[in-house]
Amino acid sequence: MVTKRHVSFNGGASSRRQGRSLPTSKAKKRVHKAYQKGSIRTRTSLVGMTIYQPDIEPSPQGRKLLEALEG
Amino acid sequence: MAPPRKRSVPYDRQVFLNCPFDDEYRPLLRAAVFTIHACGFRARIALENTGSENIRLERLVKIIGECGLGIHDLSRVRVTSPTDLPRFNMPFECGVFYGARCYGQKAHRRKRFLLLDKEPYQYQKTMSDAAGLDPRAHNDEPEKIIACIRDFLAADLDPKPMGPTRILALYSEFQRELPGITAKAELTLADIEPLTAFNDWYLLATRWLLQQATARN
Repeated sequence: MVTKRHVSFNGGASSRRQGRSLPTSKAKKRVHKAYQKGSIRTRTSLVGMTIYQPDIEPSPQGRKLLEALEG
Repeated sequence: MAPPRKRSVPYDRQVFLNCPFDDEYRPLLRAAVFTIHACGFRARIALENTGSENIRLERLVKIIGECGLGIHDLSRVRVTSPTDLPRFNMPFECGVFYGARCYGQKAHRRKRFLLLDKEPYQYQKTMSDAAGLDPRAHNDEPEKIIACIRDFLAADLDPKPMGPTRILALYSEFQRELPGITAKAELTLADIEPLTAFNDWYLLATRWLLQQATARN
């Protein structure tokens, strides 16, 4: 029992993410399920996103605007 | 400066945007296109290929075939002057998209789409067959169309794209910078206002988004 308690304590979030089946109390199991269901991530910026460009050839005016943007 | 590397865009990241192109709708069109790209997708619209109008249907069918998602705005199915006849292009193209989903091969069967309208339940008067498809209302407000489109595109993503408030803030920032960019190009905002200049605005907006995504790394 001490060993199991020790393992579950050290398991922590890593164990929960890996979905290991550890002996836990009912309260811990409820938390465990809530963690699995609620883990929805939302970006807070464009960092890391792929921004696709339209497949359009720029007009002369469009080129001037792009140069102004990048200049 | 060299243009960004052309990427092959996956089927499930291409969004067919079926909406009006009149002056009144322009603010919504721009907000919609900006949101689609800010969420990590690519908008496909009939304006992207300004070739001959005589083959417009073939071009639309090709675009629909390449898109895993569709956004169809039915808010302009109404009588307009001077013809006093409603325009049916949007419902027709929506039908083509839905037909591809129902009768197409495997990739087409996973097509997802969003119906938009101006007011809640307006579709009951114009296209009652859409009753089971849960159209969303934008009230002709760019803020609401941003939220509707973002929530639709975010449905199957993890992590989800930025929330509607952040996207609106980003869009507002772009709009604030536009006068400076056009002035630097020795142009004015009026030069990129007409429909014929939409692609110029479109390229500029997406390149600006790319700059934000890379500058903040």
